[in-house]
Amino acid sequence: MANGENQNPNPNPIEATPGAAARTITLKTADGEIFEVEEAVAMEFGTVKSFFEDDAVSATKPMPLPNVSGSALSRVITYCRRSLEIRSMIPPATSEDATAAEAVQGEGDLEAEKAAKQERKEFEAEFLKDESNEDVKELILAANYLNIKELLDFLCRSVALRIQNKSVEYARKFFGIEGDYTPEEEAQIRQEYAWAFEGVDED
Amino acid sequence: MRRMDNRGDFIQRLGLDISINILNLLEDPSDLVRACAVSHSWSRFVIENSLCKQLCLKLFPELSSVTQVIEVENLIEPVKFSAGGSPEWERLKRDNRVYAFFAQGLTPLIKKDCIIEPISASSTDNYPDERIQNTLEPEDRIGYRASYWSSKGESDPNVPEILTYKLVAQLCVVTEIQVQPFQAYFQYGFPIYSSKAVRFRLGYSRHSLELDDDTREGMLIHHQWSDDDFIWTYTSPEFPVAQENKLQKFKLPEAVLCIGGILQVELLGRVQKQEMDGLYYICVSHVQVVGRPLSSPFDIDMLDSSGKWTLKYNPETLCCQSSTQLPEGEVDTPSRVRTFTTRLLQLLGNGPVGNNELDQEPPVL
Repeated sequence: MANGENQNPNPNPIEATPGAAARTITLKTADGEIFEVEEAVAMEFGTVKSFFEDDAVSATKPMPLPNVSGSALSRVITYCRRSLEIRSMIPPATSEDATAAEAVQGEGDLEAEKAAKQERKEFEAEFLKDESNEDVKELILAANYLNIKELLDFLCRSVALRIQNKSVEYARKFFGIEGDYTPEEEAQIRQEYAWAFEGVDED
Repeated sequence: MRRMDNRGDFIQRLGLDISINILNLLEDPSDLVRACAVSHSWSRFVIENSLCKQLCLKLFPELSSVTQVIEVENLIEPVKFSAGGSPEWERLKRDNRVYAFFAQGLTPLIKKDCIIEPISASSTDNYPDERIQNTLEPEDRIGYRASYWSSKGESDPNVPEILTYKLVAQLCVVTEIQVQPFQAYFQYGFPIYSSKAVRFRLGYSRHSLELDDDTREGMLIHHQWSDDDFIWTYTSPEFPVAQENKLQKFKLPEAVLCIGGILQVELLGRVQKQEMDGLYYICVSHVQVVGRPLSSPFDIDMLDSSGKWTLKYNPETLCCQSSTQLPEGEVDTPSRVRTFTTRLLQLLGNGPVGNNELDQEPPVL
């Protein structure tokens, strides 16, 4: 999108929905990047939603996001956009007293739901594939700050998957923690719960 | 003030909710134990938020009715605690340990055959053809004969019968018990020798059941227990038995933690007379227990008859009975017996509640 205001060096340029006069919301990250985001996507961010619901804040003034970096926000936007797309694959639920014809329609909905689930699974698997642990952490902090429940749940699950069956050292590195047990204390834990330290993945 | 760099403890920066979410998604108790080993603050976090207990309840939902038993044992009794610890903290620490071991030790899949062997029958007709061992045979026949246990005949239909069994592990979560009455297809009218009702007891034996072969065989044929031979920690309600040749399932109102591994099946009231002699009999073709046993290399041992038990982890043991603590640094004896004492059983009204030993080093038994 050729927009004079956009100084975004981001490799994933935001494209406006072709032809539609979509309302966009401008966000400004901590490192000064400006993002113009479709309103539907931006409203996925709980923080943004309440910011604009509070009073008649002008949608053209960039909303500052002091705790989010440009790269993180870009990933977040990609996620939310795709998530919206997948959700739109599922037609609205049919009412309870549907006729037979509508019930058949309902079965079609079930198919659509299954397809959507599958899409989501594949999308989520791809999404974090090349992200380093650092990137994932940054995303969590961003998703937390922006209050995006779905993304946060997904990220939490991913972190749990990443640290499961990993060694204590790995967990320490991942979370940036210094171990503070004395060698004797640590030895005692490892002895008492020997079963927990067997068969751990190689770092 | 939040920082954007990646230094600093992630858990603290994320705040309680998200951190709990992440750690709660771990499905293996080993992961939680290793989380405790990361640092003091993580250990405190896991313990304070009872994550091991939550995992246990997630893995084994039926335990929710049993946690009362476990926690009653972790009551604040006069106990030595480390400097700076509060009773509440000590309790949480103990919970953490017990639930971590349970989560690891309980069989992941519900088993349908938690009985390992019979111990006794109150009476037996036509030994050995109609002995109690037959109730554990999965088939309906052995060779040419039908497989079932039969009591002796009684003219009084109110005389009960009792079958006593040993479970596959000394600690077992029991959810359901299944009993199939026997139908004599070789008798006129195909009578079904069910009882009127059935009741179950779970508990442990006060005395060792390691007996010589003759005594043991005698008990399998005909034995009456006295009241103080067992401590029954659970007595079920009476379940009515249908006079049907079907495996009848008696689901316990709540899952029960059987500590000690003994099951008694009380068959109450006789309904079927045998035409030939005019006496009432009870016959059973199958008895099964459904539940989750504590699996090797975990086991429990009775410490003394007051109801103190030791929860043990011994990776070397799949058969041996060794429970002594081996000195550290012994290279040629790789057995790593780790024990800790948790009193898993409260004997309500059976004497004073004793001290709970929070052992820092494993006891030599």
